[in-house]
Amino acid sequence: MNEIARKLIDGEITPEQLPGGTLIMRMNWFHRLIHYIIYFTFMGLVYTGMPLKFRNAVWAQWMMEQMGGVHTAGLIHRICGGITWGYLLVHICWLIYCLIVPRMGLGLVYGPDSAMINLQDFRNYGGMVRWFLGKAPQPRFGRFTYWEKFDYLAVFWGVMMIGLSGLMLWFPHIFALVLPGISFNIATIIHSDEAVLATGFIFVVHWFNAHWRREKYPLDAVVFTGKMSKEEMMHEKPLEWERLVQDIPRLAHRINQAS
Amino acid sequence: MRNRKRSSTRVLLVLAAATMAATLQSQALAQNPTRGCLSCHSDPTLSKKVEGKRVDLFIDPERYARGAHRDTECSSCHIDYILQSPHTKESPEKLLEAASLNCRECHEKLYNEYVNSLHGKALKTGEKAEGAKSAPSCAECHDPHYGMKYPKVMSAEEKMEITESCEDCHEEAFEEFTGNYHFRALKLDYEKSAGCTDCHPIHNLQKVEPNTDEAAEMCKDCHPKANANMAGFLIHTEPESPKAPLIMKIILIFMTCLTAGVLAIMYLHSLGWWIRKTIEINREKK
Repeated sequence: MNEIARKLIDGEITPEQLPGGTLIMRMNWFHRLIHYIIYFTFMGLVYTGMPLKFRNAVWAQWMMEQMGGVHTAGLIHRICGGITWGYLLVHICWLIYCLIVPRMGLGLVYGPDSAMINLQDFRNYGGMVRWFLGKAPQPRFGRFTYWEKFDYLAVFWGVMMIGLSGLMLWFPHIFALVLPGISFNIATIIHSDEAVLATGFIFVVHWFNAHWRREKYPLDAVVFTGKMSKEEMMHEKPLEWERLVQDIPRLAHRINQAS
Repeated sequence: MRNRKRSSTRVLLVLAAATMAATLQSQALAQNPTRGCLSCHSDPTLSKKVEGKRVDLFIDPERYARGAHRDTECSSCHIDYILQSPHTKESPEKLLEAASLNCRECHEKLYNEYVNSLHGKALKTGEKAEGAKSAPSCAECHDPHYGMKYPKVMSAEEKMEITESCEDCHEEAFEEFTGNYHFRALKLDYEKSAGCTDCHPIHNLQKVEPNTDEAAEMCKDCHPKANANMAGFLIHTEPESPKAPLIMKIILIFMTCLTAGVLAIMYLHSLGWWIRKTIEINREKK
């Protein structure tokens, strides 16, 4: 066991006495792996899909040439799309596992460790807007802020919308067994518009919130390491920090994980 | 005296040259009538005015020599047309009809398909699309001078050429098609994608109702398991189009509002955050 974690458990030091820069685990290897997969498949999908949407642009034709034509782009797009469905299913299996094992249970959908949206998130959004306008101090956040929850839950929505319409356009002869022809027109609208929404969101809002805002610029390494320093947690996630201070074994466990 | 002699010599020389040129031209015309025609028609500026519009009369000799009709003489299609200058006037409709009849001599099977097609029948009855001179005959799509032959397996460029030629008369159908995946892929050089004539077999053009097994046959070249439902896909209907079904418009409005709404709120959120944080940092520095 990690030396600092042992000292914490033995009561030799209090959480306040933790050395500066002590790392605390935030995202385990499974979450990081899934995030890597999302990153690469999403970039692949955007890169191969956007030239088709903006086919009249000079850059679209250039990009298609670089990729070796529509056929190759379509192949890459389908491979990335298939992997996207794969990671969604794997993640859903993981969620079901967490619901069943007692360690998380209903804490997955309710409470401070949950990524589900709750009433407090709406209050915090209002608080942030008041802070932007200079009318109140910045709200204090827990383990998952509302923008992080939104990013997380938006993947489910996005994969369902783009993924289902994508499957329809990939296998039209199967879906046409039960669906009328106009459903493919609708799938085209949804696939195309939702893709613009996802790209416009990830490329600006997600990257700003995670990496580009002045507190983090140019990059938040937590995406690669999964670890967060004590100081950063006290500043970014004060409620989470306060909860850990009350729960020494848990804090020691997460410090040990990060070592 | 010497002066007069010199000038008469000059006149003789000019006359001799003119005679020689005329003889050479008529000889060329007799030996190779096509070259004879090209002696004037290879001039890129050659044109005439018909009802105020400039009509191009230029034939590119290089392309002509590469075309399938390079050994066909001009006069085998332009009957009685060649020896007077300026040539006899003919109405364009009559010319088209005559040209089609000429094609029949060598391309009888295609000709028979064509006369029974929608275009062939329309040419006979004088029916035509808005803005068109007449229904198209053979020469509208295959410029006979260059013997334009489209192979069974076409390049994206050739498919695009045909597809764009449909626009001349079927502007609306073409415009609506440009948003479709098939056109987009074709535009990006994907030769396996479908242009107009892949679903509307042009020589034997017939009216086919969408959403039928008959229409599904057209899809089957590329999608072997296509059924009637799949052939109900509205290829010529963009969601922005006034004739788009209500459900498409509702979905489009919903998706547009969702995209614009989420992006607007969150972009402002990011901007507000950046401005506030910058203000705070500057205050701390002071």
